Amino acid sequence: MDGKGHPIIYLHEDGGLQPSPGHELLAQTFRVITLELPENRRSASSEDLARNLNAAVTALGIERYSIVGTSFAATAALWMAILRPESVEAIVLSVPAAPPRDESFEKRAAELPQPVLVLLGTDDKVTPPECGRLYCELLRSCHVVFVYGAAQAIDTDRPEAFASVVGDFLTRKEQFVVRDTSALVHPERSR
Amino acid sequence: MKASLFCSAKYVAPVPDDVWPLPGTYYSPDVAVRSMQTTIDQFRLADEYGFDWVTCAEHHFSPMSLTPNPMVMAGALCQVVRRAKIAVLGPTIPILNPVRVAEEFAMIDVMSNGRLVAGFMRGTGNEYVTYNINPSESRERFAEAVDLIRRCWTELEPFGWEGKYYQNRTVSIWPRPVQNPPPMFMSTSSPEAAEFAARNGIGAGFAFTTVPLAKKAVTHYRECAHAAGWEPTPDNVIYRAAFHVAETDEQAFADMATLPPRVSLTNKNKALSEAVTKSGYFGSDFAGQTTRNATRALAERIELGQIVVGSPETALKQVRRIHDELGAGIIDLVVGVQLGERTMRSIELLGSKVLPRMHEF
Repeated sequence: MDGKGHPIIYLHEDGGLQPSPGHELLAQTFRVITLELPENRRSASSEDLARNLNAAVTALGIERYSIVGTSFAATAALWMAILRPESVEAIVLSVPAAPPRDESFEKRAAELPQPVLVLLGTDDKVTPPECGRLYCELLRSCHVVFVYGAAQAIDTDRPEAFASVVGDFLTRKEQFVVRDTSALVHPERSR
Repeated sequence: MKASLFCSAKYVAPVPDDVWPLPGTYYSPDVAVRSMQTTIDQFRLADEYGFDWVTCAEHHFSPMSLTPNPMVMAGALCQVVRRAKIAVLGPTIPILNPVRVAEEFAMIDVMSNGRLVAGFMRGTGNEYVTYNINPSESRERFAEAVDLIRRCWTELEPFGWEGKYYQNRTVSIWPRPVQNPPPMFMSTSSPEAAEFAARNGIGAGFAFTTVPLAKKAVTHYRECAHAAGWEPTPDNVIYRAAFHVAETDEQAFADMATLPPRVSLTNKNKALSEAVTKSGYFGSDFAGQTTRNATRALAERIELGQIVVGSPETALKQVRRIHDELGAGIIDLVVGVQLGERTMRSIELLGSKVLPRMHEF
C-alpha cells in the first residue's frame, strides 16, 4: 500500500506485489493498493476472483475506489465493477487480453456506467491491434490511448507517460479529453 | 522508369542567393504572384506532356521556394493536374503537427481521387529554426510522427496518443485517404534513415546527393528491407536530380550558364549551420551528409548525376545511367533554371522526346 488520496486497486498481470515504476509514480498522488492474485489466476473464473478481491478491499475499509488491471487481470477488473458498481469510480485496462466471449459477462459489462481507459503500447507485438476496438464495442464509455514506444509492460516501459494519462483519467474521467495544463511559454506571475 | 516534375515555386526575380532567412525588404507581391502562376503553368504542362507525377515540397523563409506549406500547392494541383500523381515530398514532419499532416494528406488523396504520393521528410537543418524545434530531437520526433500519422489513417475507433513528443486525447480524422495506405517515401540518404524506412515499409528517396553516394545508400536500404522480410521494387526508389533540356547541348549549357552555383539553405547561414551540426542532426555518416551538399561546378554535377543537362538525346543517356546505377524506378526532375519560355520548352522536350523512351526502361 503506497501513498495517499483516492484509492486505486492495482492488479498486476504477474500476480505479484512488486510495484512497477509507473505504480510508484501514481502513488505520489493516489493511494495505490496492490492485491496479490492467486497462483491459479489464469485458470480460475474471473468472476470468483473479482468477488474475493472485492471482499479484500472491503476488509481494508475502502468504500470508493478505482481499478487498474493489466493484461489477464483486465477481466477481473471489469468483474469487480460489475459486482460492486456503486464502489468503483473508473477503470484502467493496461494492455488487456481480448475480452472473453461470454454472454453473461458481455451483457453486464455493456451496462457498466464507469468510464474505462484502455492503454495499448505501440511496440507491443503480442496484443492483437483490434483489441482496443473490441473493448470500445463492448463498453458504454471506453477510451483507447496508444502509449508510444511501450510494449506490453507500459508501466515499466513509459512510467511517466503511464502515470500521467492514468492519473489524469482517474481524476477527471471522460473530461480528460480536454487539456487543462498550460502551454504558456513563460508563465509569469502577475504583478 | 517514371518521371516526376518538381517545381519548387522559385521566386522569379533576382534576389540575394547567399542569405537565409532573406528579409522581406526584397519581396514584391507582383513577382510572387507571377512566380506562383509560373509554377502552376509548369505543373500543368508537365501533366499534359505525360509526366507520371508532379512534386512539391516544404521550404521556409527563402525565395528558393514559395511553398512553405506544400499541402496548399498540392490542393491547387488537384484541380490543375488531371492525370499525374501528386507527390508531396514532402512536409517537414518533425516541425509539424502530425495529426494535421495526416488530415491534409487525406484531403489531397480524396480531392485527387487517390493520386497522392506521401513524403515524410526531416527537411534541411534551417527548417528547425522556422518553427523553433530543436534539431537534435529531429529523428525521434520524425519516428514518432510517422507512426502517429499512419495510425490516424488506419485506426477506425477514436484513439488517444501518449507520445514522447506528441500528445492527443482523441483522434478520429475525416476525411481518410482513398488509397489504403497512400504510397509513402522518405529521404534515405543517411544509414539511420535507410534502416527506418526499410523497417517500416517506406519507399527510399534520394535528393540533393550524388549517384555514387545514393548507390551506397540504396544498397544499404535493400539489405535492411531484405532483413525486414521484403524486397523493394524499382517503384520503391526515387532519385531527385535537377534538369534542363534544350534543342541542342550547346543551347542547354548556355542556358545553365546564367545560373549561380547552388548553395544549400543551411550553408547560407554560418551560425545556423554550425549549431545544426553541433546538435547531431546529421547522424553517424556526418561526412557524407555534409559533403553531398557541397557547391560544385556544372560539369562535376552532371558527372555525379546531380543534374541532367543537354539535348533530349544527351539527357536520355544521363537519365539512363542514373537508372542503371541505382535501380530507381522514378526520377524526380527539378526545374533546373527558371528562364520563362526556355524552361517551358525544357519541360516539353523532356516530356515529348525523353519520357517515352524512359518509360521503356
